[in-house]
Amino acid sequence: MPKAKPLTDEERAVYEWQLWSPEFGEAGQERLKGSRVLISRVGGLGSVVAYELAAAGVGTLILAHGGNIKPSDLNRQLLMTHAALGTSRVQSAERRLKELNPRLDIVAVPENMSDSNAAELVAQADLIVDCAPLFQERFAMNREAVRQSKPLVECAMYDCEASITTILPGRTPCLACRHPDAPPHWRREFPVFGAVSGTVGCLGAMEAIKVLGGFGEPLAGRLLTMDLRTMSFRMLKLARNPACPVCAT
Amino acid sequence: MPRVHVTRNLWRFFPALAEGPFDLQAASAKEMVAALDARFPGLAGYLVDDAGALRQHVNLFIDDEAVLDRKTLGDTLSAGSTVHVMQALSGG
Ligand SMILES: [Zn+2]
Repeated sequence: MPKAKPLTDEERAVYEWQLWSPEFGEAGQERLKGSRVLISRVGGLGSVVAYELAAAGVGTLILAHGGNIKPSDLNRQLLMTHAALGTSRVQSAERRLKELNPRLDIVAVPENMSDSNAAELVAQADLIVDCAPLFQERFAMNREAVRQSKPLVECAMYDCEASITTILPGRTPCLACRHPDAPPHWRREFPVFGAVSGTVGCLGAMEAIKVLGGFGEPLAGRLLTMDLRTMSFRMLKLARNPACPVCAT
Repeated sequence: MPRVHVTRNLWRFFPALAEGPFDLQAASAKEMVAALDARFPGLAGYLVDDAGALRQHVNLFIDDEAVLDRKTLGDTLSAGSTVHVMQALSGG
């Protein structure tokens, strides 16, 4: 877990309203300041996770996302701007986040998560938020999070449906307990409104803030699913797979 | 009869799933898959493999708890059970 870092007077002023949250307080804020969070892709989901964590005062964000901004990113990838079309996604994200919080340290990695970089990226973080559109990226992250015993907030969506859980290695089921394999018909492109990915992004950021800040009850072993078409929410209980290829001991 | 909800993800392959949820005569998860397939021919192929085991990207929840027996789908259903057929999501 992260090392707490003392706050400056400027930080006390900026975070004043969240310091009033009784279980969190200055000790929680100091833990956020000392935290390093890896966000895999800063698209529809990850943009909002990163923005909320930057606003909340997480000390370091490691952003992994390849490629340049396309017009079709702009309905949901809120850290990308019209003026930056055609330029690097992570650079646009870094610029927008620094406008909000110039104290933030950012490690901008212009690559998506893969088997070849997952170990090194996960090693830099205290917690990972999974916002990737491809199962291969998710599986690579899950394997490394379990191996390095790092909490992993797992956010996902399709159209108006979404789900979120928090994986605490050794204590909860991991992603591979639930899905050892990807659906054969999954594609990188999918129907999405920014308000759906943004909803899940806010929930994912809150999970990260709770785990790092040491308060509340994260979604450990529970899967929150939602269908925003009907605004129905369910809390499902997950089970560990004793034969899981990743986390079974 | 158990009430079965099927993820919207599968509606694009079986548009009539939009009429759900469905009350199906089934005493086990396995019977529920058969009953779904009788109503939507071919749907079982999306949910289970040739040996009848749940496909790896599919999850079944009975009364909000994950089904543990993914191989033979022996979990029992009662008249008041609610089943959710879910699929892995990965959109970001
Ligand atoms: Zn596992």
